[in-house]
Amino acid sequence: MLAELASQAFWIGLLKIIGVNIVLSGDNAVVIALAARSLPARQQKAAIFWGSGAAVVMRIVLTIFAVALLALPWLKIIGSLLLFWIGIKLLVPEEDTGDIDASDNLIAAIRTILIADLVMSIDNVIAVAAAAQGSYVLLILGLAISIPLVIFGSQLLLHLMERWPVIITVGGGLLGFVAGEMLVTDPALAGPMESMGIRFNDGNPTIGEVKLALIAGAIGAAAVVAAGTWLARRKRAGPASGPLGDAEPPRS
Amino acid sequence: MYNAPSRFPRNAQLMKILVAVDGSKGSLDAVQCLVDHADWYRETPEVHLVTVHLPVPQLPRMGLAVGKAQIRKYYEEEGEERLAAAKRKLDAAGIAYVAKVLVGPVAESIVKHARDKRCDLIYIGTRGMTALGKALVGSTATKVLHIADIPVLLVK
Repeated sequence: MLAELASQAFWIGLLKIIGVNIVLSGDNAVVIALAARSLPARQQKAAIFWGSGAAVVMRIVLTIFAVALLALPWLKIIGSLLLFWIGIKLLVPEEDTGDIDASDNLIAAIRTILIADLVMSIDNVIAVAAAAQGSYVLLILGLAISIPLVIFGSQLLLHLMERWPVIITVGGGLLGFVAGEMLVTDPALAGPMESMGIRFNDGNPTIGEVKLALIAGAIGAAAVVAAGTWLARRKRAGPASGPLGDAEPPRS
Repeated sequence: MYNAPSRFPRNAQLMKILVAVDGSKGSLDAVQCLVDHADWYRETPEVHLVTVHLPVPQLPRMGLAVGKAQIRKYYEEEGEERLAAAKRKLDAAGIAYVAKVLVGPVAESIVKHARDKRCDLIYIGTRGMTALGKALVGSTATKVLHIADIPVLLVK
């Protein structure tokens, strides 16, 4: 483990996991910030503390599971397609906000934070598992550092996303990048690619001197951003409400 | 040219003024200016005090965890915080006002509200939360000035 800590690849990998997790956790942060607000000030900290603690454990378990799954052939391809879909959906604004009652007790708020973390983290789990490239040390360290950062900084992240909605587009692009990388590194594709004349350098498919994963990632990022913004624009041009929507309740 | 009566109809009733604040110290200058110079106007004007909250991003599956009422409450609470100091100033000066938290793009929402309420004048500070320095006019104030179709008073 010490040898692993000293290598440069380790630190780059760690930064990648933390970066992926923070950018992709914007949606979770929004929910956490809003869920904690409805509690009395004294309980807000407790809700965030317990909610985040449970979320860290839950996320680490899920991601370890995902890392193990991704070693199997075909599953990287499936995961990558799932990430493409999630990335595109992220860029298309959702209008049907439900009519859920605000939770004004501690347990309900913690439950909300956990449910939100579970349903909104599929993208992070897959992306982080892919970025960890099989190293559990990297994975656990990266998650343990970034999840509390997201949870305690949720209010700040919410305000940043309100001011610069482009952060969401960056998140979508990042998902597309990881998805592209995953797609071409699936073990099931190694055989066909080799027969197509693609060289393998340390097990990484390479075209010329460039890693194929890098090229596929860039294409994936561009594809998600393009498809997402196109769909969002088409949806906005439709019969949807204006930019203000129903944000302002009518007053008599 | 100020001789186009159709563009600026003289209001037979009270003058209506919209004051926009963002909770920062700089933006309070606009309120202070209004308070200090309330006697510029023949009668105390009708004051609309507003602050604008940017909309929260609409993300997939967010509806599973957060309801509309919760988001509205969030806007109201944060908005009230930003209005508090301005309200105190107006209360102390004995100027009546209607306060409101708007949601949307900042400059556009201010101008739209002024139009909806048929305000005659917009007061806005030039140094708000996003000010870079004293030399610059705030970006929000600049935008309001650009898109408003009524007079805008920039308070330095």
